[in-house]
Parts: sequence; C-alpha cells; structure tokens
Amino acid sequence: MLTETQLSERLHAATEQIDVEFSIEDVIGEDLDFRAAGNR
Amino acid sequence: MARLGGCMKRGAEFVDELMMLRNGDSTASADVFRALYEREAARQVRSATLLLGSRAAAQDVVHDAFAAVWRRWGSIADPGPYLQRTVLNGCRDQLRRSRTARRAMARLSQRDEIPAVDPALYDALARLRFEHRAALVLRFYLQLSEAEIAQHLGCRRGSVGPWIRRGLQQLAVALDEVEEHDAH
Repeated sequence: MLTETQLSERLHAATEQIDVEFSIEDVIGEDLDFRAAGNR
Repeated sequence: MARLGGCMKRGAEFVDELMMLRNGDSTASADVFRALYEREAARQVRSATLLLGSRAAAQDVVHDAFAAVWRRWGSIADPGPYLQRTVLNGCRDQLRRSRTARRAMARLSQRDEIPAVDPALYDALARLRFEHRAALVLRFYLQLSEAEIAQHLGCRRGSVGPWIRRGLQQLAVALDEVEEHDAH
C-alpha cells in the first residue's frame, strides 16, 4: 500500500525539475497587446 | 500564449510602471501581484503537470490563470484561492475538450511531454478520475487541508476524505500495474 508520506515525496521528486516557462512580463504584456488590438 | 524569451518579453521596470498605472499608482498592489507570481507560479505549474500529464498544457493553463487574475486585479478579495480555482478549472476544461478525460489523458501523456523523472507515476495518475487525482495532488503535493480542497474543487467537504482514500488505493494498484508492465 502506498503511504501518504511516500506519495508526497514521490510527487515532489517527480516535479522538482519542472520550471516555469513564462514570466510575469509575458502575462501582463499579452494583456496589453490584447487591449491595444481593440479587444476590450 | 507568449513564453519567456518571446517577443512579449519586457523589462521589469516597465512592468512595474504598468502595474502601478493599472492599480491606481499603488506600489503595494504591484508588489502583491509580483509576490503572488513568485510564490505560486512554480508550484502551480508543477501541480498542473501532475493533473494533466503534460508540461506544455500545464504551462498554458497556469499562464492563462495568472492572466485572468491580472485582468481582475483590484476586484479580487483573495487572489491566492482565486488563482488556485482558476488553475483547477483550466485543467478540467483542458481535459473536457477531448471526447473523454481518459482519451485526453492518453493523448496528453505522450512520453515527450512527461518529465523524465518517474514517468510511471504520471501514467498511474492518468488512470484516476479527475476528482481523485486532484484531491491527491492538492493534499499531498500542495499540502492543502480537506476544507481547502473542498472549497477549490467546489464540492462538499465530506467528499474529499473518501476521494483521497479511494485515490490512494487506486493509485497504488495503478502503480503496480504500470511498473510491472514497464518491467517486461
């Protein structure tokens, strides 16, 4: 049986090498370009 | 969506100015949005990857969730829970867009999308119902309480405990099957 501790450790180990591929600048910049295009 | 390094990339000072304009010249508000990104972006992308079995789809869902928070910034009382719910709804929508969640997971769980570390775990998670998978990830990856999980998933609190217990049992069985299959 998989224990809660084992699952928690495995979930963290399986994802620790995943990085965020967008920046806060991307999030805000896209919204600005959307608005600039007239899609308000 | 635009990714880091794309044509949308802008300087941090420019963004700070825009955030202050957007939020009534409130430096504190801009700082809060930036702090939310710094605190949540990685853990939301990682938990969404566990839910979707795809790094690329997770990046899209979390990016769009931050954009939704940004568009409503100033009118959201508690941005953290709002972001969490938006990510979960985005994951659910991503899976619903295909004919069935199981087929979507099979499509999304291509080996090139799954991180190299512990692909068996991703395969096993993909076999669970979304509610069971989400309950496990929210409880044992994000360390949320059952009450918080119920709030984010929009269900009764009494449903969460059974989902976690059933999810753990089914995940253990699925892991055995996947690992036995991979061994042959």
